[in-house]
Amino acid sequence: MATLRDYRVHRRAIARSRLVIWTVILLAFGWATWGTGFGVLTFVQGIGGSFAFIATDLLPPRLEAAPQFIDDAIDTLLMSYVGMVMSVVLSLPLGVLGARNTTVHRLLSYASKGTVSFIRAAPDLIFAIFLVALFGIGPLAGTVAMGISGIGILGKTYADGIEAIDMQQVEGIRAAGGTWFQVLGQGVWPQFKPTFITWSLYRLDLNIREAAVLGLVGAGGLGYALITEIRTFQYRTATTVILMIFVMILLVEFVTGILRRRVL
Amino acid sequence: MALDPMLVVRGLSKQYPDGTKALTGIDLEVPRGQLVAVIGLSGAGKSTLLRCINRLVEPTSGQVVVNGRDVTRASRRELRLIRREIGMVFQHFNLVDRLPVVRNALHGRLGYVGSLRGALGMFPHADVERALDVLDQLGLGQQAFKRCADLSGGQKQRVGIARALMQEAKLILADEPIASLDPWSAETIMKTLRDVAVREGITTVVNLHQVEFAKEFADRVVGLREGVIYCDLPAESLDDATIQELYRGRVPEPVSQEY
Amino acid sequence: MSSTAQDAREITGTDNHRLSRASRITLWALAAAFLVFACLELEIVPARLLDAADRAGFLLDAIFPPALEDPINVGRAAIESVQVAIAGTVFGIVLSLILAILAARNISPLGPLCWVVKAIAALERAIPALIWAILFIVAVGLGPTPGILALAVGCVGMLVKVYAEAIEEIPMGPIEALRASGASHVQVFFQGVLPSVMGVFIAWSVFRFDINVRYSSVLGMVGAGGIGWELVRAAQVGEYDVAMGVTLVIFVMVLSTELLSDRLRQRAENEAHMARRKVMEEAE
Repeated sequence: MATLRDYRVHRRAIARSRLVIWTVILLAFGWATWGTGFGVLTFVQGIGGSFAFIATDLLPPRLEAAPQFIDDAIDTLLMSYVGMVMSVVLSLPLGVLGARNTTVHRLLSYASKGTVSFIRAAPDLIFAIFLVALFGIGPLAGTVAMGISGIGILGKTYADGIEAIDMQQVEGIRAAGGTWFQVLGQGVWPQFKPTFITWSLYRLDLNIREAAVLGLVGAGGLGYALITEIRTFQYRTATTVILMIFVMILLVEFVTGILRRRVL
Repeated sequence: MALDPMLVVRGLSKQYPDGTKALTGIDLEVPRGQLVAVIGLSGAGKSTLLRCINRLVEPTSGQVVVNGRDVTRASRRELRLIRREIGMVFQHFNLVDRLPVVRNALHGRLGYVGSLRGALGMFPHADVERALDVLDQLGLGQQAFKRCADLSGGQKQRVGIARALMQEAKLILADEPIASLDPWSAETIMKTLRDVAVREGITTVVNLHQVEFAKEFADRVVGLREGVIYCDLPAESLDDATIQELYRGRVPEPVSQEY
Repeated sequence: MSSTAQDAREITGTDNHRLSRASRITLWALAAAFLVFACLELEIVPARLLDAADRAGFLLDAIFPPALEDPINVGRAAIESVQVAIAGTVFGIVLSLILAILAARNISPLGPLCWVVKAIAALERAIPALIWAILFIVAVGLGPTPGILALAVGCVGMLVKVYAEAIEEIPMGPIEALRASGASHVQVFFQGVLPSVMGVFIAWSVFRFDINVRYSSVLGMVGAGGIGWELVRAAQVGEYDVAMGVTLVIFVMVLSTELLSDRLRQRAENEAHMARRKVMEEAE
């Protein structure tokens, strides 16, 4: 039977564990604020000052300037879409190979998952920087950047989704004499489809946000226009660009929302 | 020696804003130490009745007196004091899953320790020892420091009972305590409730929809039909004809036959 | 957090408006057509890709072997990025907690107006983190400060939503039980409500921290402090081997902070389990 002594050991163990965690967090926070010279006061002043600044210098937006950015806006939209398709195409084989239940060999599963994890560690912009060196300035670099970086998320969620299916349904088709592709198509795909659609559309949502900023390094989209307007102190025009980005993001989210409900 | 009844219910009614009459004119007296089973169809008002007794649900009219104290007209503070003497056991156990078993048992003492100490989980050593003892008696000695989430249904319900016992409750209200359990655990729990009731002299009111459990474990059976007491008799007098009428032909199948 | 398949089903919810087979085929066809159109508009044509294939060789030569011109500086910048991420996340969590309490239907002091806070959070979500950084830089100048502000505000979109949902989805059963046993409001909160939301709260906070570390490395590119600046600088002068070197440093930074934060999270999750083990050990 458990005794009072046991109870006290238990309480102490938990208290000690919590102490360690909080100490680490507080030390990290202290180190961070000391190193960057940023304290609570800085935070409050920063937020207050920034929103005041936004209210006076950035608003109201110069909406008349909008038409000149339409081309860039359309580019941003198209980039997001093509980038998603590219991620999907590249991630499907990686997902199938990554999933323990559909892979050809266990080592391939580890290799695939490892590659995907590796890609996931890098922010999109880093890919963009190198790809601009390769493809030159313009939306091509941005699209490929999103295409490759998308593998980080889609490769993982596809593999997870495939691993989560009911293998008995697949066994049925295999037993009936289907080839590997038939098994994938008839057994795996129907169960995998919801995961596939949901996460692919989610990637589209992410892309439209990324595409807006990739222009900062010259990889196409509204980002470049934004940074130019800011560098030339055209703040209210910059606000227009930000609003356009904002509207596009909402639009894409709306469309993906509808697609998700209707195609699933 | 004639003591006051533990529980007195007079003219209890509950009507919901949408017009549903959950209870109408319930009159009930439960002497100390009795184990009463309340049976009836779903929606007959069993759950509402129990919850009116400790005012988790506000009655529309009527009076409830527990251990000589008027629950219906008690202030917030008085209500808290009354409630700490009324233990409640729930169908879905209602434990804080992420906390260990012993802590959930100790929750029974929250009404007795100071607000701050209770909030911080600081309980007197005597309470801790009692909790561990109670858990051991209920067969949970090995599980004392496990998270409740890791327990089986039967074990969870025993923790629920431990919590009620830790309150040193004089009255235990059990709302369908075995509805979520398999037949063997259900039997164990009903045995536990009865043993505890007999040993500690705790008055117990149990909602059940398994009629045979009612007959086997209760001293007295009260049947509710559409918010009104239909029958009120000693358990051994409960005959099939009454049951049929109570359930209007839709008698729930005896559990043992399904397995 | 739940598996991806479970996420998919949760996100879709009920779907009684499924399209007919013909409509769905049309949809796929449209998608394909749109793809072709988009590629042409963006000049993603085989010719350009082949061009690039040529250049690829030169580029790879330039990138490898990766080098670091000024490792001390780069190291310092990486540390600054981590600091920005930590500070930004902590402030972001505190800010989001306060807003989440206002946004949660069941406990919000704002009552029926709680949806306003949720709407604000949704709007924030639609502004990319980098754009927040640019805004704050314009407002307060360069350096780590705008970066921290941007990350803190950036947390709000995600964390307010998930914190509020966690609060709204607390199982009411245990709370009812505690009230029934005579516990006070304070006791019900600390012994009933708090333990129930802790798990979700910790998981999402750590998740957001990992995201913020990634963002932090990038914020430097626009001048908000940290290692991003080194990367952009190297690329701008064509020193691609240095750029790759900095990229590798970023990798190390992201992966190591992820490992550490995960260890911390596991410790918090398993504290009960580990305490029990300790009891059993000491009993021998």
